[in-house]
Amino acid sequence: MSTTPSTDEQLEARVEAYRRTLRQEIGLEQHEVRHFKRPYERPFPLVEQATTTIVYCGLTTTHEEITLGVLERLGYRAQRLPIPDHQALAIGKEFCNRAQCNPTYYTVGNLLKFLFELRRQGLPDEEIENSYALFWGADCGPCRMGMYEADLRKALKGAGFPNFRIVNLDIAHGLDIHQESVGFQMPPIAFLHLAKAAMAADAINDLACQIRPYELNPGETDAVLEEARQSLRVAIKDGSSIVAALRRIKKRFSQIEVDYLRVKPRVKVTGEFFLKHSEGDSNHKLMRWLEEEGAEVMLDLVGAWFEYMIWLNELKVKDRLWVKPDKQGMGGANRWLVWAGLRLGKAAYEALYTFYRSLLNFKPQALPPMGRLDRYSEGYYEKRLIAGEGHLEVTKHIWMTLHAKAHMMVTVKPFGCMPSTISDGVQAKVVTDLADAIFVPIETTGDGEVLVKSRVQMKLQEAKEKTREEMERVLDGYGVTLEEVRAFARKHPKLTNAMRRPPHQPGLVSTAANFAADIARRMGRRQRTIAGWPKGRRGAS
Amino acid sequence: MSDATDASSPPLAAGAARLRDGGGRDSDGFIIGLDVGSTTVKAVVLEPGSREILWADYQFHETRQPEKVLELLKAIEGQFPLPSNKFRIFATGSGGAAIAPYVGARFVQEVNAVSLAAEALQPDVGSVIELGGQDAKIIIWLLDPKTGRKRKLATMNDKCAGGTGAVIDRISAKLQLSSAQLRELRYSNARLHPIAGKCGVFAETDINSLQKQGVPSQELMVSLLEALVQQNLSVLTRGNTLRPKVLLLGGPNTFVPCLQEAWRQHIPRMWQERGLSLPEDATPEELIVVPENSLYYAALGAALYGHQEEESQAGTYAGTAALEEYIEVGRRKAKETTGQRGFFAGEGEMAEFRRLYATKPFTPPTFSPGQVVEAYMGVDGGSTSTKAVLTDGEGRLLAKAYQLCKGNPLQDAKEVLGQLRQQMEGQGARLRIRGVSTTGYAKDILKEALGADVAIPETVAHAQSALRYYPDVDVIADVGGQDIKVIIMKRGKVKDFKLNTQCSAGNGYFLQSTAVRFGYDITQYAEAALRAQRAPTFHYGCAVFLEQDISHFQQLGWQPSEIMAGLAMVLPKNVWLYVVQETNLARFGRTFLLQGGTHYNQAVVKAQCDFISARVPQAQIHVHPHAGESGALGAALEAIRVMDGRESSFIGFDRVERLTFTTTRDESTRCVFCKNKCLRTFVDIQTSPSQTTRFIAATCERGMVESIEEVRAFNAREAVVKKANPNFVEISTREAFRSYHPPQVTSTSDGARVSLWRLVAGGGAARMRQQREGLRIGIPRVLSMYSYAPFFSAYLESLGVKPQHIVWSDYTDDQMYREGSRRGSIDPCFPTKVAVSHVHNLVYKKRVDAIFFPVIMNVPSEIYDCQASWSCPTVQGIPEVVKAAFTTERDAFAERGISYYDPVLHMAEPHLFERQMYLFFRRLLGVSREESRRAIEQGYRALNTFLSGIRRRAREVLDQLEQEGRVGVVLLSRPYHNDPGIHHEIPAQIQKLGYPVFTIDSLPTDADILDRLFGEEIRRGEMADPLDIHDAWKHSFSETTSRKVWGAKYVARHPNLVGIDISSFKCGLDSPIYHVIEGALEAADTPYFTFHDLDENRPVGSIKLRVETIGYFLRRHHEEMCHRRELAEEVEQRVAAYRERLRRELLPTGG
Repeated sequence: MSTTPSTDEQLEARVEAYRRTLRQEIGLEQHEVRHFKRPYERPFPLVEQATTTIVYCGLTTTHEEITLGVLERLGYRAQRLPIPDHQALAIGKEFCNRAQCNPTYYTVGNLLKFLFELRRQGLPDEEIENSYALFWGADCGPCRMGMYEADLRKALKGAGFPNFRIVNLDIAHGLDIHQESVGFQMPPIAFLHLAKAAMAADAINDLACQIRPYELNPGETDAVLEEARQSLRVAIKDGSSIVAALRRIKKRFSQIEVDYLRVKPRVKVTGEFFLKHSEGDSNHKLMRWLEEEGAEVMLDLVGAWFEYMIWLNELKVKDRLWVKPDKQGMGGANRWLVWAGLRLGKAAYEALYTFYRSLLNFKPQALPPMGRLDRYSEGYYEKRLIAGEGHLEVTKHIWMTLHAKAHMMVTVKPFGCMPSTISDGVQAKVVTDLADAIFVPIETTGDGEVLVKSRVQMKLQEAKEKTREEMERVLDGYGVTLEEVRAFARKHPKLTNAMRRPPHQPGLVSTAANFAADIARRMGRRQRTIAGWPKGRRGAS
Repeated sequence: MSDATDASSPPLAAGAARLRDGGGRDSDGFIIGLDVGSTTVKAVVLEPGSREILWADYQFHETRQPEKVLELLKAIEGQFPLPSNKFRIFATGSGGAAIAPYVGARFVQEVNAVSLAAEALQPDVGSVIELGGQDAKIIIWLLDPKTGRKRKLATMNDKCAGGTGAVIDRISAKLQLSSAQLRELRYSNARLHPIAGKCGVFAETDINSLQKQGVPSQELMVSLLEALVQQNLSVLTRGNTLRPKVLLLGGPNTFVPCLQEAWRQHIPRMWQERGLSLPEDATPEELIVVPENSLYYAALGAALYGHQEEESQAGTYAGTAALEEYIEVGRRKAKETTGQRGFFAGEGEMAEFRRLYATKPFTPPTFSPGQVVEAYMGVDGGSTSTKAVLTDGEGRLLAKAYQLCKGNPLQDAKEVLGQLRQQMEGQGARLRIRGVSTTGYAKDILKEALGADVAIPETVAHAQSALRYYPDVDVIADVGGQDIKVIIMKRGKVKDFKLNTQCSAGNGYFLQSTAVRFGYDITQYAEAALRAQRAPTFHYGCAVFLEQDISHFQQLGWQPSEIMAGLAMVLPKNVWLYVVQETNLARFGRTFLLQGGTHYNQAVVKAQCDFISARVPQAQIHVHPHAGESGALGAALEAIRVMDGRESSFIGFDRVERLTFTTTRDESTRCVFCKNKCLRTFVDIQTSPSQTTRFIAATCERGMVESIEEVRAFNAREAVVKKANPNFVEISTREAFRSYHPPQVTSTSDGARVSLWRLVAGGGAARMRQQREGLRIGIPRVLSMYSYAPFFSAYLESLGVKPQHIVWSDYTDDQMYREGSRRGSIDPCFPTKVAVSHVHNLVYKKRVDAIFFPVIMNVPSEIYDCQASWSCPTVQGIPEVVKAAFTTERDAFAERGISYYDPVLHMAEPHLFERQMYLFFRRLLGVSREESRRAIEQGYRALNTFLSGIRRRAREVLDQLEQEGRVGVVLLSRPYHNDPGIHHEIPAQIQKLGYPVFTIDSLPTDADILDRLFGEEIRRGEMADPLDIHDAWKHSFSETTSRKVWGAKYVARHPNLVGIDISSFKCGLDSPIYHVIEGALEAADTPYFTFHDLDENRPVGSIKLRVETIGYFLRRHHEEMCHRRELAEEVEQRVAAYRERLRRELLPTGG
């Protein structure tokens, strides 16, 4: 068979060449269209592990600091980013898509601010990209949180760091890293360490919140908290005993001098995950400011959210136990096995946290009883609505009010947060139905601080009045004066130990009222029946 | 409130008078209540024992809060000459906390202060509505039936100052209404127009548009007040009912009787609707009062708080020394630690800038007496100013005139044309106008009145004007009074354009009004701002937030000139980051041209230069030599282009001078040509005694004619265009809500079993069927129903529910939204917010037994290998919010015998979904598992028929476009954007331009077309499937988001399609993909346009401008396509000839 082109083929080849030339001459020959592709994700191979510093942010200082110990233990160079501030917001707004919610702006802007600072110090962009990688958490619920990564990559590209590496931890599905990205590995044991770090951080943060408003020497609690963070970080990093560390921490906290008779309303802070845990400008430093305004802040535990995740998955599996598997939903997984695993995991998680609490006199607050909580929101908010904090905002509001856990609840949410807006719509009814609720939702954009704080102050005043009334009822009820209680407590130093947890009296919320009631009983006083004395479950309709 | 300046302060109380007259009592001290608000400072002095008001005054602080506080305190000290420790002082208000420490005051939060005062002074108070300068508060006292005690519900606006006095101030200044005029306004006899009340900027956009239609200022102001009342009632009450007696407090409520009337109109209506029992001895209107001292409630409350305060030392007045020290020294020091450096480090820098950018005065050419000058005229009727120019036939400028709007575009145009004429004829020359073109907001009415030859969108005018001076320009940034336009050029052609949507953040008008408020003329702005040594740092974005920042900076002591500098500095951020959304300016090119009236402001030019240079170091930045008149100049250039020797239809200067006009907008002008029955404005323009032209300003083109014959002719023309260019938004909407007549699947019809328990409980199959037939089920026509209505209606029908008993709420319209919106308590995106109104429509306007509004968690997906296919969280949750809205306080469903159901459905998981449907409908309809399964099959069958039918028709249209080389427009939107109340008729307007309109769901998915579009990439391994989006978007868990991305990919690959990205305000799932949609279409050089931030208001002017601009660029795109097609044909002809020649050469015929 001849390989020489036929005359026809020669002709067509020349015609085609002529056509091409003509089209080119006439301007019809276009450059090849390169369709849009999502940003390149640079892998993170093992070889780069030793020269790469992992940076991260987005939680409380305590959580971040102790997490540093976990990463160090795993052999990574790691560094916390500063707490996101207004400047981070401005940078985030500049480089992200318009109309994003502010957790995106703050966290993305915070990373860029850090990178710009390195650039300002003279580090070449390439070296910055080679030396640092971001450890980033995401979730792919229906809310846009799972899409933050897209804005992050867009912003990094826009800022001149297209090859910056991101190690994405999908909270629901584990690590989402490129196949070649073996430079960052999270063995199962790492998750256990992370869980321990989160629990320990929760416990000491909560301790500090319970003690700080009552400390006699300003700043002492913060100093002890910082010691505790370092102690736990080192324990986790070195693999030494966390139990021993917590015992030492308990001792240090117990040395703080306190006056638990200061009458302060307990204010529960909850809301969107990033904002409720943030300690920076994103929520106008809400927790510290509330303390300055005379409140005792009741934090939401970071661990509670992980527990919620487990509970949610358990619910998901439970709903599907009796139906044939669908591709979406459970896929081919063995539902009964997953269900059993989740239940077991939840029990273990709760047990470990309770153990840590026991080492700290059970003073840190317990994990919310997730299994029972959903019944409070029944009829108000569907528990299967999973975006953001789901039904938790509503259910916590009702739970806190019915069980006298806090005088007031502040939910903090970013402007335009979709799930939070929805639960706010339901809260309007909850507030009307609950006679005793003091509830204030605040929306933040980073500006308008005066108005936001004013709205909180508005409710805080009510909470303070309620707290004062509560204290008066206790003193009247037991027939004691504040001076008598104080004098008795002074004679019994053990009772005034900062780590002591006065027993919670039904219907009493504030630390001072519970403390006074406890002392009064120890003084041998009996409670008189007086009008208006709380009877435990209050006010629910 | 500015009008309050001329209201006299309340008379001093008797006690004070006695003190003043020397008959003062020997007091142990007094209590001062100080209310430091965002616009005023108020102070009262109370006698603690009697709580008598001894002294009271208020002052507008005009940005100088500390100074005014000092002034008032000095006045008090003068009035009550006692040592300072004899006073106790309690401060409240937004600025109270900052001032309190300097005078020893204790701070009292303002709502607490107001409620304390209300409880003390008006024991029978039920609610308080206090509107302040930047905040709004509602307090409701609810009687707890269990304890018999009153408890307080208090709400304040969040960070947004939407429905507050600041908006009233701003708009009344814009409408040039004096304080007296504002007071004279009456609600009862005013005509109301739709205006957005939630946002001052949106309101301003609406008002601009209505103003251009000739709506009188008074009507606009009343409409604004109406909108503010509606907004506060719908959101700030958070779903609660105001209890009588209602106190109206604060400046706006006190000084604007019309606002009081609006409250008195709406609150009783709400009471009636919600069945609130009222005291019999008073009319509802009498229960809404403005009490005596309504301005002073916060100050009084603060003082009363002091009276109650047990700590005797709390709030001991410390005198004014510390405050004076703060004003003199402390404030400056505090300020120095914040903010940024001013524009220039020194005089040298400033001189250099002025050398480069100082506006060069225009030297018009001179003419000799008697000379006949042939000229072309361009007139730009803008939102805040009117401009006109004359050019010669070569486009050289002969004369120009600029004037700030005085209220009516015709009057303004008369004056600027008079100026032009004067400039020419003043030299004795005679003008001969060869062509006239108009542009700007008022281009149509000006064209009609002046007899202009052509009217063009301002975007086009600005581009032409820019190219005249800078042919190699890459980016044109035009910042006008209301609009920001950025036009991206490529090789002298418009490549893309960006417009601010309805939000006019940081525009020229904002700078101007701020300057005026500070006592500066706009011409003095630049000088003051450029000389500021330091400037506060503003957050860029919404103008309402900028306004708040201004207040905050004023509190910190920043001077007006520094604030103006800061505002100028933030403007580029609003232009480039907020409107254009591009951080990498270098991507656009190197040559930037600044034009538009705002760039006459040298401070803005300097800020722009700094901003651009920081991002594009090699940038060449020019300022258009006629920045303010660039639009008019572009219009004149267009006149030159189109006239081409023709005679101009311009009516002539003489007739312009004699031009008179009357504007009519009343019942006689109401349009009757469709069910909307909109009000129109008739402008009768008389240019000569014998000639009157009527211009009709209407919301749609059909309304622009008068007689039924004209309408018929118009309809016939429109029908032709519509037939040739189908609108799949309209088709989908129609098809989604029709019956697909599924076969019956009930047990009696095919033997399927009914559930045993239902048979026992319900008395047998026959009775059950009867029940189903009788049951009327209402379904809100919202959100996912625009996709899945066929499924649900077929499911129900196949089970025996009669088609006519499936009751859909009406299509969204303004009236329906407003009627129901008062039930709302939150402010999410409009498509979800409107669901409350739809349920309201079902409850109060339809006869239904049950309302079915499922929580649809996820939906089936066609996207390949997506992570998930969730519904949006707001869409998922809104049924729960609706339930709360109708059951807060009282159960509105139960009262009307309606059951409300919002079952959770996972449509993406067929087995789970089947179980959920069965479990739910077993309860409601007594269905058996088998019945439900078969009904689901029927549902899917109907859904399939619906979708495949639309796609089949779309395929035909697309094929036709390909054959004819025409262009079609794909709306990259969510299914609910098919709702006519949400898309604001944008698809129909595009269709009328002569383009078929597709939805994403209507895009054909036949194998051949998918292969044509995606086959190559699949074969190259870049994609796994035609419906794979992983190459462009990683986070494919939101179904509608994924579909938008896929739609953009489809459009990018199809040569006959262009995309318009449509998105609603606050859409949290659209914002992350803005850049993806843009990137996909830009990469393929496909024209791309946006309508972002659509909301409840319909910004007619902004939509019109955008549609016109889109129309212009689509025409250009089509012309380009045709040109290329012709070229391609020519190439093929030449190739054929070449082939023939070659064949002859290579294959010589034998013989």
